[in-house]
Amino acid sequence: MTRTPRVRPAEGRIRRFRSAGGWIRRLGPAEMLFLAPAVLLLTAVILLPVVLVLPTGLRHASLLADDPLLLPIARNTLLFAAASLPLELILGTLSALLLDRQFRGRGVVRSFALLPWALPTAVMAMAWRWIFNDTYGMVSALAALFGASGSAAWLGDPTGAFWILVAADVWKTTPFVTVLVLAGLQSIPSELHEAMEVDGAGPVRRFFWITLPLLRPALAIAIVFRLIQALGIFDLPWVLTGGGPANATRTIAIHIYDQYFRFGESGYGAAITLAAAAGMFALAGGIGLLVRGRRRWA
Amino acid sequence: MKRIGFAVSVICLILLSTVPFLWPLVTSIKSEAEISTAPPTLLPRQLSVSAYQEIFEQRPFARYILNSFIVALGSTALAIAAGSAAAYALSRMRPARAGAIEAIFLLAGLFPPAVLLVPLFTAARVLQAVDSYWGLILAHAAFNLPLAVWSLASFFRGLPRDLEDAARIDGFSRLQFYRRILLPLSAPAVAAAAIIVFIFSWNEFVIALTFMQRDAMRTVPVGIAMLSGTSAYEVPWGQVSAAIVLTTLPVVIAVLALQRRILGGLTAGAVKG
Amino acid sequence: MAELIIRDLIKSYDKKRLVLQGLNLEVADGELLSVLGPSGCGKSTLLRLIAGLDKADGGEIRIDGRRVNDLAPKDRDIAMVFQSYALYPHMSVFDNIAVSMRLRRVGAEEIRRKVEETARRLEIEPYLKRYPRMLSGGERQRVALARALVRDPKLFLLDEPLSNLDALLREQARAQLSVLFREARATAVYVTHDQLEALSMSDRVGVLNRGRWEQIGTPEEIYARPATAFVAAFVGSPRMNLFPGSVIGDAAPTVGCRPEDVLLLESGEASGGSAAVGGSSGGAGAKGGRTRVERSRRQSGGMEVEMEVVLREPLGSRRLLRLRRGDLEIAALEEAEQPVAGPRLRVRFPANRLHRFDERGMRIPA
Repeated sequence: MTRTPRVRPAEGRIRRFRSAGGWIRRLGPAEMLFLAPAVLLLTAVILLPVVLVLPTGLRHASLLADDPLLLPIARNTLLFAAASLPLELILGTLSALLLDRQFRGRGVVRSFALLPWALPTAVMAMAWRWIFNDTYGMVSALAALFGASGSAAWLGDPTGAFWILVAADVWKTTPFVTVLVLAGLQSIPSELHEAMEVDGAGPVRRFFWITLPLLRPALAIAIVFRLIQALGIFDLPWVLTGGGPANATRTIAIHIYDQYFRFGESGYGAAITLAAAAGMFALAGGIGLLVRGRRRWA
Repeated sequence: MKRIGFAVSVICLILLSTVPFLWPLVTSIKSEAEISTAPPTLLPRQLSVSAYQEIFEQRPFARYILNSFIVALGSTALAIAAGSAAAYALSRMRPARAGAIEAIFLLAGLFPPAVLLVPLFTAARVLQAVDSYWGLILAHAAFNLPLAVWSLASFFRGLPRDLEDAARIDGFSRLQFYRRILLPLSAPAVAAAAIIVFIFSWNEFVIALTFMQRDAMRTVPVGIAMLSGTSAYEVPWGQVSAAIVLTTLPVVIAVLALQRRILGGLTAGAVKG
Repeated sequence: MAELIIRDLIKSYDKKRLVLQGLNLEVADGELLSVLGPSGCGKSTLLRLIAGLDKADGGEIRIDGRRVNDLAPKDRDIAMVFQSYALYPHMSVFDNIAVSMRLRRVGAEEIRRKVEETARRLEIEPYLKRYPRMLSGGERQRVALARALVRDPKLFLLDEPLSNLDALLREQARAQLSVLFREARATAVYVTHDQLEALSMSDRVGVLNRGRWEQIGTPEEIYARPATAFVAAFVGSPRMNLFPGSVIGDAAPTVGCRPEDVLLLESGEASGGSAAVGGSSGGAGAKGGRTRVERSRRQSGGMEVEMEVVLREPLGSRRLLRLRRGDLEIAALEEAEQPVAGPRLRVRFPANRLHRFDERGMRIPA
């Protein structure tokens, strides 16, 4: 099946784009075509709305200072992230180390490890709510088994609610870290471990001298992603407690939702949105760069 | 000794991953009366499927499932179509340019939708996309796009350049190469990306919550979260548990069956050390 | 430095097939022994067992008189150079070389001294602060060597250390390695599939095939008196001609003659005539032919076969000829300067250059 190849008059077409700006010149027309749908979609759904809301948000920016709940909620959200992230990283890395080894049924175990991430957060939030129901929940059932009185306001107590939220989030997001770290582990050649084994290092030393340093890129990615996601979390706290007893689990995202949908404060909602987005990215980006370090070797 | 420790760890991992939905599972097969006894029983004394019946009779649960399917399928199709094309372009561009564009995509994908509620909903309202499928489909597709692009671009980069050169010499145009050679060749990777995007769309909550306000248009996660009982305080936990089981069981099976694919898709775009 | 003794070493990965079938080996103190063999013969497995990276299923490994079967690699006092060099990408060259000493908590001053000294010997001193990815293949290889040398171990293990280098570098590296090991009077086991490497660098060579030794001997013995047909075919480039003895009227089931030993004469000429040329590396000048003729007379006594020239491949100063007669195919070498003319040639296999093997492939002594 031979056809005469079409000769693309590359010069002519590219010259036309030259005026559109330096870097566009280097893209052939074909690439632009292929990128177009994706770029269009993102622009229409994310970029444009954000840009359109920008002026409103800026106009109402002064209201930020008048909101007594803003700072406590922001602090809560940061606390939540600070509590969840380290737990996820540790558990995720441990799981990845476990799943990196070859063993019978590894595929099945991996599926189980992956499960929490694949399930709808909101649905599982209902499950957690039911588990920690004061009187009829699973915890009560377990307590009854050991003879203790089962009824306690787990989710009705601010501290309890906060930590249950953290636990539920860690449960849900650990697989994400596990997957990223697994990929990172697999990119470390086993010969490096063997070489250091011959040089005289045991498994613990090898973990700290080889595995961890070479995992830094993977961990950096995990941290940046997870941090932004944790700071913007909505599903879990909203369904679990609606914002928690005494705002203990009220996150920034819930606050925005409340302001906009419950109180109808569209202007102020826009303002918090901008502030939150900017803050999140600055924080996550900064920490990510820190963890990544200067990549001198790869 | 090491073997025992390893086995114990693995068992712990499995237990921890599954415990949270063992309780709803157990609850869903209890009778209404038994559910509301205190202290509650760990295992049902009497089996009953009334909860499952009720969830379909008293609630439009079937409708929720249909809605979720339509939205997930639609957004997956859109995200994969646009995403694989973009990934192809990125994989053939010079690394510097491609990197910059990918970074921008990534940035867009990082935005937690919850934070962008205001802009999103404002736009939806203006475009009259509220309570309609295509509004949610577009939104889901947009937020899942970066992940699809990331995963597929990395995969496409791994394919040999010679293939395309040979095709060009044979007379294929870019588009033809893409449709007739590249995509069929990449079917596993595309399938993996599609599965992941589908899961994300199915599980999505916030946008679905705000975009779909009529009960009949709700997706499954929203539907379950909004289940309320006859009184303002009473949540029909039996029905909720049945709904949870119905929602999670298919996912459990899918993950067990497609685990390798999913992991492959996720790690394709991941760390390159 | 120490000696290595291996007795009845057995290894199987899937409990069905034995990768190593009861190997015995003795490497003397200060000796460099190559393990030569095709891929899959078990040579890398052997090395890994000696290193302690895998456990043997049977047999014994002794380093410096001590049984090491149950010892971890780090307790065996060995150093290993990997095929891929296995340099730690996130550490500088200096740190790469220093790792083993740091692990043993050697003082910083002494570490610095020894690393610099070793780096100097391998001519990589200017790279000490750099990272592996900034180095060329040859430089990385020397870093890998430095890392092993600095440890001054009882035993060196090298797993095809030169196979990732291009041909020119390989030649230089071969020479350097030889010198280094001789100076260090190191005991070393060197795994390779390149017979030229093995023959040129080693004190002794062990040819391994499917988990069994075919022959262990000096390079000269391996080359001139291969113990089996396998060794005969494996060692020597171009490959030795092996064919049924009946073709030339010999009683042995298999006979062999190296291409460089095959004599070529123009067909139609009486043997010993002025046109007789070919054979081992030749003389020079116009009179060279005569000398060769005389030599060929002395070497005569072998059988002659008339064959057709199928291909002539120039190999620089020599040419490779491929000849055929019926089912028999022979390779022979001739000097490019003094080719033998004609589409058909008489091919002679001198009796004292003929190797004979029995039906099991074992050498039949002359």
